[in-house]
Amino acid sequence: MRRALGTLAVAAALALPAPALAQSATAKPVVGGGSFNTARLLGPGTYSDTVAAGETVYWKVRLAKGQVLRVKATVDTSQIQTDPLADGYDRGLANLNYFLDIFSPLREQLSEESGGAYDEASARLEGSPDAGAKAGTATGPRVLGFEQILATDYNEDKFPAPGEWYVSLNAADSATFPADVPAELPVELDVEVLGQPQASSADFAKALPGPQKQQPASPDTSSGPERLFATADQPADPSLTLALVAVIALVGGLALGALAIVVLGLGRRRT
Amino acid sequence: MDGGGAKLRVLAALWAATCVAALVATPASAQSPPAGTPKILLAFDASGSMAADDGAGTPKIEAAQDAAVDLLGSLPPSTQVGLRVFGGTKPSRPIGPACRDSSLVLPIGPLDRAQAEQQIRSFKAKGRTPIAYALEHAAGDLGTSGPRTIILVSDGKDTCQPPSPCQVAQRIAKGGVEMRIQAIGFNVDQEARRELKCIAQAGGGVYTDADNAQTLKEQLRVLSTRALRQYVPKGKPVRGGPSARQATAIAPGRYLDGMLPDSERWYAVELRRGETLKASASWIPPRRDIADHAQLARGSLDIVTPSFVIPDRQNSSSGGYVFERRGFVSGFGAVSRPIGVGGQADADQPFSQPGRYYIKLALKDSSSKDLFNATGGQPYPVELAVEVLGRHGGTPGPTKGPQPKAPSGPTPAGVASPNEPPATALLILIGGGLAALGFAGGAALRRRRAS
Repeated sequence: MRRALGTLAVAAALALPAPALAQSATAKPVVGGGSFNTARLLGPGTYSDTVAAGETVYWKVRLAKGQVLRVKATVDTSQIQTDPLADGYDRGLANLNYFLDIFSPLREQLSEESGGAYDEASARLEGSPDAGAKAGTATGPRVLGFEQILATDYNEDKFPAPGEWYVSLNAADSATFPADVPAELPVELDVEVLGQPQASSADFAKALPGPQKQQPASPDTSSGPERLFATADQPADPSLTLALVAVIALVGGLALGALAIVVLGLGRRRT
Repeated sequence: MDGGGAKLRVLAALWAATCVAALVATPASAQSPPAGTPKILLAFDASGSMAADDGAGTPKIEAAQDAAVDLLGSLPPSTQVGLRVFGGTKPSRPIGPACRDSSLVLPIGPLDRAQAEQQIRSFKAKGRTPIAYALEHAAGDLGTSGPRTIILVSDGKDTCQPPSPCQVAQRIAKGGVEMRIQAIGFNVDQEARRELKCIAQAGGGVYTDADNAQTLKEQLRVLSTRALRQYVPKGKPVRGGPSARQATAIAPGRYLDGMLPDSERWYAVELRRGETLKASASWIPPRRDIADHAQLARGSLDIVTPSFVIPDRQNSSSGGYVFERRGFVSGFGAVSRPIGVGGQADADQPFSQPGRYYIKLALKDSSSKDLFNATGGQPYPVELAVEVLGRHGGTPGPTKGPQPKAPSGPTPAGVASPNEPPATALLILIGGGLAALGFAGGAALRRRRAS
């Protein structure tokens, strides 16, 4: 009887409706990374990937000054049973929350900007529980040139500069509704890069004027030799002190060895 | 001098040489993988049907072996991967032994490619297809903690039922979201495809068809990459100092440190005029449920000037909650202004002076010490990325700029620091060794002259 019920449950699982998210014919399969370090580089286009319950997937997009990143993520949730009375229901999976976030090249979550200027850079994916899919769109701010951020009164506490911007999709369960079984869900990602790229380089600072006159205090320590011993205003670098001790030990050992050869050898000659 | 004394001197010299060799060898010694490192177990079909042609003139077993060797060749050497085969050694009858024919030919551990290839090539196609039996053992091979993936490759359905492999997969998956079963059907018929799909779905993974050897190779790579996409902290191990005056000097690059709650880490970066310091930090939860316990924990990242001032400047400091959601890693970033030029050329500006700037990381626990209690006082990994814009085109690289110096304080458990080279102790030992050799040589000379 138990086996028959099990077979029925398996048959029911197989009879689940086909994924509501019809994979676009043009969607290019990719495998996102599990961290900022391993984020997969994407260009504009439509991509297919997966996200597992409890997982965050990272991609990245190269942006130039003047461009805007817009990403739409659609997660196929049709394999998740949403009827609490049905076999295979897991409340953790049924209550997964999906977040799409855009990060600056500094890996900072842009929607966390304290003034709320970049709120659209994060999105919570929405969709009716029985619709079989959830979708959301995140839009980053227009990329500013290095010179616009670093040499002006730019007043936001994030850094929307040219470079590699990160996109993450997080399928989060929670302490209230922990996912007790695994699930890997198909994802479709639409990546748009709007606007014309403009040139901007961090080297712009080389052209900026320096001080009008020589600063009397705080010498430029970057160009001078390292100091081995502490002075009143700067502590000694302990590694340099250790290195000095090591060199003294090496030379001392060499001298001691040589001295031993000489003394012992001469001692014999005298006898 | 007697012979015993000479022997002692030789032994002393050998001892010194051994110590030197040991010190030199220490950094290369193997380390156990960090907690949370993903593990992959390949479960390969070696039943009699795998002897059939794959459609391109190659037996399927050989195509599968080629795909496995290709995969292992593409994985980083540190990957924790193993291989179990089912079928392969027992004839189809008697049924009992044939349905228990599964062996772990490559135990889970870091890759030894030569040994792995030898093991992979060693199995033949023979006997039945005990998928359920192999899955149960595969789950045992992977242990009970951390992200674990079984990648099942088969060309047919289980020929040893009951138990149903689908039900076994369901039972295995009840261990939580960190255990998944992926399935690849290699030239399968409809019935086998249906069963393998059921296994993958019950195991929280996906099913993929592989109609030929090339697709099998590609799918193995895709599934392995997905299995490995956990947030594994990466970077050159470093230990920041406890204060500005004990900051660890670092060059641009990516670093990995460990921090206890309610502690600070300080790093120093030398900046020249016109350069801009850019830093980002991410604290990595060692377990996925950390967010449940420590939602009030906060992290901060500040750039501090040579005058030990934290400028009140937009985006030269950042901070916020570090573990907001399960499975999510956020980041914090800070950037200085171009040092000593443009608007920062005036001496009263915070970024006016070239010199030693500091990066300060702080991890604040809640008042009830939730963060500390969640790990029992173990450090939290933190990734630090440092870049200097305007230096050689702004490209970060650990070889550019000032070289890292020896950090102060002990190295936390599990985080080796390459910034503590054995050079100092090595030189002292070499010095001692030279002295010992000198004495030994002198004594030998004396003895020879005496004779």
